[in-house]
Amino acid sequence: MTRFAWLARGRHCPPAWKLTRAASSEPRDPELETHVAACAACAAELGTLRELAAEARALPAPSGMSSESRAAISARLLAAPPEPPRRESASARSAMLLTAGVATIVVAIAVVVAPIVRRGASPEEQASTAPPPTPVSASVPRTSRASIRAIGNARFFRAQPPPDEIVRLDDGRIELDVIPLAAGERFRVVTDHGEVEVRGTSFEVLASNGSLRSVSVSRGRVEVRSGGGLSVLDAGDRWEEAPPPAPAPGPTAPEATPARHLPAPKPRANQRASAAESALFDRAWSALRAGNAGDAAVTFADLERRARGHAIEEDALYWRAVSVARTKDSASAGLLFREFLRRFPASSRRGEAAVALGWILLDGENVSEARHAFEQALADPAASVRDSAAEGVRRTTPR
Amino acid sequence: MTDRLIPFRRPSDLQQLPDEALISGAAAGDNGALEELFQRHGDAVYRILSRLRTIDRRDLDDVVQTTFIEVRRSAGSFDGRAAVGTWVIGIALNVARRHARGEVRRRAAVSAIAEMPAPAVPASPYEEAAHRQLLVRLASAFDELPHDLRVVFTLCDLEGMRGVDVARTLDVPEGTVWRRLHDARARLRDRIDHQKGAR
Repeated sequence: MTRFAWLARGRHCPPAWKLTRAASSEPRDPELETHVAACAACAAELGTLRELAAEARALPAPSGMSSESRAAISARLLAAPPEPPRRESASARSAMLLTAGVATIVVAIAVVVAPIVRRGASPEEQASTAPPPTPVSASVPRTSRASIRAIGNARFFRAQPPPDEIVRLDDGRIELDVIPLAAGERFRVVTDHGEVEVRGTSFEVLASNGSLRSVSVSRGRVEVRSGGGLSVLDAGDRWEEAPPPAPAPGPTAPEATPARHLPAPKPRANQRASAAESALFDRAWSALRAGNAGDAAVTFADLERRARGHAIEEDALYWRAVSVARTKDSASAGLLFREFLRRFPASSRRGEAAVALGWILLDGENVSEARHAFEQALADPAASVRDSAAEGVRRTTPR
Repeated sequence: MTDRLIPFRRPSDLQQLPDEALISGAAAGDNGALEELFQRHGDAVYRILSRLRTIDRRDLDDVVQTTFIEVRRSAGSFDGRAAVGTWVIGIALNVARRHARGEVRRRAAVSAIAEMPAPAVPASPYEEAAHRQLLVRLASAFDELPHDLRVVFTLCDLEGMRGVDVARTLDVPEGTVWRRLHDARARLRDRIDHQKGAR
């Protein structure tokens, strides 16, 4: 095989690139085929081109992406810091609007290191004094109940999808448009030591170092859970946390932050589970025993919502966390175990929850917090829990 | 994100969304949507970049990641004229071109040849050796192609993409694709013949 035959082709022959196209996997060109059938030079060139293409296809395919590479890239993309988009097209914007729906409410969440917003300022005053938000990133999955825009370098992630949607906010300010929730749906913004639950409203939250600092409600109703207490705020209400206590030597328990204006938890009026709650508990347990951890998690979550203030709420939350952990959703399970430890610090299951949380944190290479969790279970009455906690402490002790 | 955060869980419902919806999400900064796009198109990007042989294997992961970060940055300008996969490959090729301008280019080409595996279906020891020699010559000739020709040859002849899709990927007229492909094949054939004659 020598050089290309097109050097010998005549001036009536089709351009060479048409032969190239014919040698590729392209639709047939009847006119070209007619010419090639009558032209030896073009037929020779076409044959040469096809031969080369076949040789090229014989080149071995490169090895694919390894699972390690895939996981590493995936993790880095998920954690990629926001950056200003170059340009948002009209189509993208309209898609977002369609996603958010017509009837939306605005929720502004902020975690800032700045001082607490002055007490007593009206929502209008606060809005007018706040700097104009700079949209940096947003999160608008079609099935999410909220679109989220980060203001500045906010760090947040969606920890759990609907119907019990959780947005985890670590630092910074985010603004959310939340679709009105249907019956049985929840939407929460969670920080390390507190959370805010949307009840169809507009409100603003300030926090620092992962703790809630203040919440003011301009519309609707908000439930604030922090420091082991619960408070329901209506429009015009404001909640503030006391300044953090003076640092004490040694590690500080995350749930030790007192709340100055947070009312004490309401007395649990009914400590006995109703028949409906018991039935729900049995159903959830049956699902868990049958290996349907996802169904069990949903049912325990439903029970937990219905059983607020009842003794069974504690069990519901614990087993919900266990169920979620069995779905391999470690992130959500970790949040739930944290929530359990915060809300039920005197629970007999505290040690088990702490150990479970510890192993989840250790899997996520969060060694210091894992060790703290394990240490909480070292004195558990159950030997198996103590042993697991001791093993966790051993693995998290610097050598 | 700091390492204090519990790792993000990719919502399973994202897997149900079409590519275009994920592009909208990515345009708005949703890393979950971006990651889902990576799950869908990352393999193709990785394979094509591997075939281009302008990127050292040690740098491939970074270039793939950079591609998808670029996807997020450019998502707002996605106009739907091309399929999302085609558009993503176009971005990957631009990223690869920028990368190839770096000093790693020569090192990459040399190491890629050295690591080239044997053909999958050898006939006889003699044919196997001859075939392997041909492939080595082809690979060597390929490495000498200008970037534009190498890209078109990779997409058309190695990836089997249609000319119209390659044209959309590269944002050039379809005729340009065929001319470049013809030029690439001619140069490859000349180079292979030259290598044969030199032996």
